[in-house]
Amino acid sequence: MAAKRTTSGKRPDGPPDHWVLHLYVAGQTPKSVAAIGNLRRFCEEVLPGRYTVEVIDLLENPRLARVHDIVAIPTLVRDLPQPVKKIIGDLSRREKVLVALDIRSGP
Amino acid sequence: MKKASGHRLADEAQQTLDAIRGGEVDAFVVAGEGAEKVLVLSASDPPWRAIVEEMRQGAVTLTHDGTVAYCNPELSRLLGLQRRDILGHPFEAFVAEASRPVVRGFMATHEERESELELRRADGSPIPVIAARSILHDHEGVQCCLVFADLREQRIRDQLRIEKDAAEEASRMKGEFLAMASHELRTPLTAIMGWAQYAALPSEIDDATARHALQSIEQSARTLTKLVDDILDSSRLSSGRLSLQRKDVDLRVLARSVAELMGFELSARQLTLRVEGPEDPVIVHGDPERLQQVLVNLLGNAIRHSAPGGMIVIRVEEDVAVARLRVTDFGEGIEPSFLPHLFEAFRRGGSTRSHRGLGLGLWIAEQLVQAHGGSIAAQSEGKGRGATFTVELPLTPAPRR
Repeated sequence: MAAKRTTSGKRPDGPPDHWVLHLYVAGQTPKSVAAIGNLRRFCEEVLPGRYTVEVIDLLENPRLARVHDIVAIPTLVRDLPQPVKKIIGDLSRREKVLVALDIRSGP
Repeated sequence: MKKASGHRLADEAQQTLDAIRGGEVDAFVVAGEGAEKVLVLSASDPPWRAIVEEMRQGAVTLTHDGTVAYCNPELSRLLGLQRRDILGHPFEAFVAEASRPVVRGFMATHEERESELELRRADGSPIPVIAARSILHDHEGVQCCLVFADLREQRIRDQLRIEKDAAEEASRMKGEFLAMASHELRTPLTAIMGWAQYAALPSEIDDATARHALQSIEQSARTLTKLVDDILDSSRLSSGRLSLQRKDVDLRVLARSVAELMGFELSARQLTLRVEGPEDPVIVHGDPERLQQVLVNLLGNAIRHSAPGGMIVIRVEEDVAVARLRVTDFGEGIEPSFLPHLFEAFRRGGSTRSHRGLGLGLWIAEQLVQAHGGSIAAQSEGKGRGATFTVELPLTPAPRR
């Protein structure tokens, strides 16, 4: 399977505060595995119940890189809320992810 | 809030670099032949190397003395050499001689900069490239890193565009010429037809009117002949089918006979013509009819562009190995911007249609002079200040007897 979907919210394009994220990885490379873990933890903590994550394995289907013009792996793309944002790297630096995703800390 | 896409790309590039430096990525998507491919780095690869290996631009790193320490596959393809024939060699060996100072300039600085230069392929042919120097810090210290983008395709595109523009211009001028030619041919024909019909009327016409009719018909016929001759000549000249019947020609005699020939046109506009020349013959080896045609065209041009009552001077000179014919008028003059186009076919000065002609006269004159191994040039101080046309022909040393 090229994509695994973990849905925690009700609809992928649900209410305005619903987050749709795509994580591009390359099989089981160390940084890919790290990014998947970091993202899960992060979402459960900061966006509980209002996010959809799709993990896309570019080793299986490299053409999908075109959808978001992916160059480096892993890369996370925030499709919703607009505007689209990209974070390149394994998401290990929590502060950087918070700033890049423009998430205000606190509820 | 929307950012400009260039800005966004730069942002992304910066982010990618940061992630590479921070060791946060371990795979890259590279564009292969039409399809994406994922490169996974092994633990020992420096991340930049994977990118540089796959990129569509040539790249080298140089040691401080200019020796090639690294070369990517694209550069080896550009140079037409195996990598082992590039690594360890002085980089200047792969650069066209004229471009070597540019490379030395790159080596002498630690700044980032860009410049055009020419690489030299193994077969000696040059490749124009734009080169960017950037700085690379790694465990071997600071190195000079050069990246090259092939400019050949762009050059070919530029060249094609120039040729296309020229072809379009030529076709536009041909179209204009056809329109002008039919107009010019119709005018004298209408005059001939008109007078012929008038003369054929049963009513009596007096002698003076009849004479005038015949003169007009003759004049119109002469204009027609000249137009048709010009068209035939230009077709002969552009296809290179012109043959010259050469003999010794005294330019002074030529100038006087042309002055006589054009007497009617001169007096019709009350113009005074002065012919000046040395006492001794000025002899060139050429086709007398063709040289006469040149002078008729130049004089005709001077007449058309002179105000009634003005003066025109034809001057014959002899210089070292050169015979010179100058036709000077004191009429309209030539706009400096039009000077370069003066001898082009189908061009006529001025924006009005007040001047008759197909715009072939000067072009034919130049072609004929060049066929004689000579040259023609025009000079004018500008609008309203007259013009001088100078023909130079190789001088025949001394009349052989």
